[in-house]
Amino acid sequence: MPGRAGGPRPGAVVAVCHGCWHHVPHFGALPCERHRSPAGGRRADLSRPAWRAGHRCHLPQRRSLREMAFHHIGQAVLELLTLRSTCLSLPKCCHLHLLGSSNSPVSAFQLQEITFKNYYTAFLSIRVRQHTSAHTTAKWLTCLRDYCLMPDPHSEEGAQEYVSLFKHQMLCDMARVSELRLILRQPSPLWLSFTVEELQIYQQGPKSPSMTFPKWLSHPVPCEQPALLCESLPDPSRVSSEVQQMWALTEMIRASHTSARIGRFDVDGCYDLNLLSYT
Amino acid sequence: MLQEESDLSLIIAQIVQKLKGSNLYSQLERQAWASLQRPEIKLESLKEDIKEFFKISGWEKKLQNAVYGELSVFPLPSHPAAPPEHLKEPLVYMRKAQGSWEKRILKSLNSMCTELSIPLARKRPVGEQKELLNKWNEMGTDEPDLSLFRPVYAPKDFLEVLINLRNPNYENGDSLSFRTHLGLIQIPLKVKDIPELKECFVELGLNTGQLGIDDSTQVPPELFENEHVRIGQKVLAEQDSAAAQQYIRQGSPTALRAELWALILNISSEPEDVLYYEQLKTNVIQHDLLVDSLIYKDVKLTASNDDYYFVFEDYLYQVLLCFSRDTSVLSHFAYNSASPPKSYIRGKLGLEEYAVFYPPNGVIPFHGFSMYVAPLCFLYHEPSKLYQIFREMYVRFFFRLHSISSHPSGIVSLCLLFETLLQTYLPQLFYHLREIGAQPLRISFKWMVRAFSGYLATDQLLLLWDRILGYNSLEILAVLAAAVFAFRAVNLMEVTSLAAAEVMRNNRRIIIWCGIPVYTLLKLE
Repeated sequence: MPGRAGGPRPGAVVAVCHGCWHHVPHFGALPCERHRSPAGGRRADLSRPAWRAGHRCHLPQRRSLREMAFHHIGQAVLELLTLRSTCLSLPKCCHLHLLGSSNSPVSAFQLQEITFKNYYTAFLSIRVRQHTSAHTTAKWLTCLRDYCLMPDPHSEEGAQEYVSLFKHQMLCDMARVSELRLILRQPSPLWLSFTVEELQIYQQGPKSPSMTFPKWLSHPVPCEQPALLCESLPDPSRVSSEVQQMWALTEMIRASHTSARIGRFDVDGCYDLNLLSYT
Repeated sequence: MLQEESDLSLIIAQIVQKLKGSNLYSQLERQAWASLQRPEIKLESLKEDIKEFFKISGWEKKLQNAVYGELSVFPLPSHPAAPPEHLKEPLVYMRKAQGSWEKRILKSLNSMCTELSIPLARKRPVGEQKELLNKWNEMGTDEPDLSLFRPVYAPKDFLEVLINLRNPNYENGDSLSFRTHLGLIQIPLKVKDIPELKECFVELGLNTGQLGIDDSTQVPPELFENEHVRIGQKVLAEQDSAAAQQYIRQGSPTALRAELWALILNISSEPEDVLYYEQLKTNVIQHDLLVDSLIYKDVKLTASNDDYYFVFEDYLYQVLLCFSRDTSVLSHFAYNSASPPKSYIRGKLGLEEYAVFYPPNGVIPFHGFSMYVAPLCFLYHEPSKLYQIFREMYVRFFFRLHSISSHPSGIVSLCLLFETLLQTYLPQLFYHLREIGAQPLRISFKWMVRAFSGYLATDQLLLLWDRILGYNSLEILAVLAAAVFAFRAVNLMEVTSLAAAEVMRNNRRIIIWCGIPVYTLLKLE
């Protein structure tokens, strides 16, 4: 079955844009150039596929979201595919606007850690928008690309695990984050839904306030060398360090107590029971 | 990097915390104090000298074995945000299924209790205590009336629960897809396929010698057996538990097996352990539990009827009755998806200070439970050592065979592994058996739940359990089950009903088991 001229051959593995069913260069989460919203923030109208309008988008082939044969298909079938894709596994895009406590948007913060519980999401990408001066519109930057949460998307491994992502794992600087976007992907058609739960975002705590120490604490006066009393006596600094070590060891032993097993199953010698309880 | 370092320190802290409560800790402390008398321990370098002393005197090896034991048993520390239930079982729907299964068991036990008007537990009168103490070594001669008792559940009831297990988020539509489960288990757990199994069980390959095959009479012993025994003796001399675990993957010589298992499971017969066993014995004599009757019934039904194990009936009572009083078993519920049943002292319902676990170890025995102990009786004759070995085997392996969990060695994964292997590599046989209504899992489930105890000749069974210890995993059970089907594939294609298939399976013991997984793993690719 011939494909469209200029498109990939039938059966090829492609990534598609929800709007026009043509390949998408980056994540497949965003519509292609044709369907991307103009600067200003209005969402692209994806209800009218470009295909029907008669134009096409030529974009290089990239990694697939799902394997799909790229056939020449009729309009009715196209509509069915669109419907299926929106309720199944094309990537969900969660856009988080972070609010401060007074319900006003947080201007910028330094991201330290993101913690969440996975629920059947296979891959996670994160994009951030940094805070910039008022005149320039900030760009979306990718800070985490296709982080694998489920090694095998068709099986349960990693499906309900708790995950932490740290600053040092991110690709870009997380210094002044104002918006965060999570892109969840689950290529397997076996799962009914996928998401992340219990999402928590931690920012860098305030640094401890700098204090000025008194001079004698921060710059100790070099102690004078004591007169050597007698050759046979041991060096006092060595003795003091050894005694300190011994003291530390004794303190450790005293502080640690064994968690001994009690071993009794009855209460004061009595083990006369009611029936088993179900709670 | 930061994450790995903090993980490592967390693991270390956890192991230290666990070992602090053990005998080994107090022994090491005593040794350290005693060593201060020695001339080579100097005050300036106290820490290093004591460390050196431990290394020379073999105490460091014991500590190494203990740490290795802890690493094998305890799962890695989980995410700080994860609740304790997550460590028991990460998948929520499986936790729920295990909870409802447990509720069914409790209901069954409660109804047995009320129907028969027998209390769950009672204190024995002094006369009865004396009588029991006198016949402690021959409890098998007792013939109590157990006709009214019935086992709480049997493996086939458990299989029905597993068959009905469903993930609510899983697309289990009627239309066939590339992932339709044609077998009985409908859960998409991750199981290994043949290439991964080959990599995992590399010591079972054709190029490596195995005990059970390469020590048969036709093979001259110089080729493999002599050398293997020599290495075994060396491993025992070194008292290295990790080396023993590696060694035993090729099978253990009969003469060395008892010591090797004790080394791997980190069991030493200290006087404290014997005392602990005696304490448990006292508990048995003081209190009589309903669970005891269940144990009696189970032993009478299974082990006493078995040609190989009926001689050990008395031992089985001594081990199982004490096992049900042992509260140290409760600690394994931290990583077991099951939870121990709870109850309250009579008249104090709802008061937490009077809440107790029933039975004290939290494990309710089912039909066939005593078969976990029976093969061990061939190895250990001293009751306290036999008891310790069984307890350790249970909290490491056997508990996974009767609780619902997603662990790779859990029974659900084993069933799925068995069915997947059969479907992938013997599709015709699988299809034929399915068509005649004899799903293969219905036949092999009882083998796997009992870890083949009672279905294999004892020498073969002990060779199988060698591998369970060596690989620290129960997957070999599923591989063996699939291999048995492969071995008998031709005959099985001719049966026309489930009953006939079962008869064919049960009427003879499988005698050359070792060759089977090897054969299967390498021939089927």
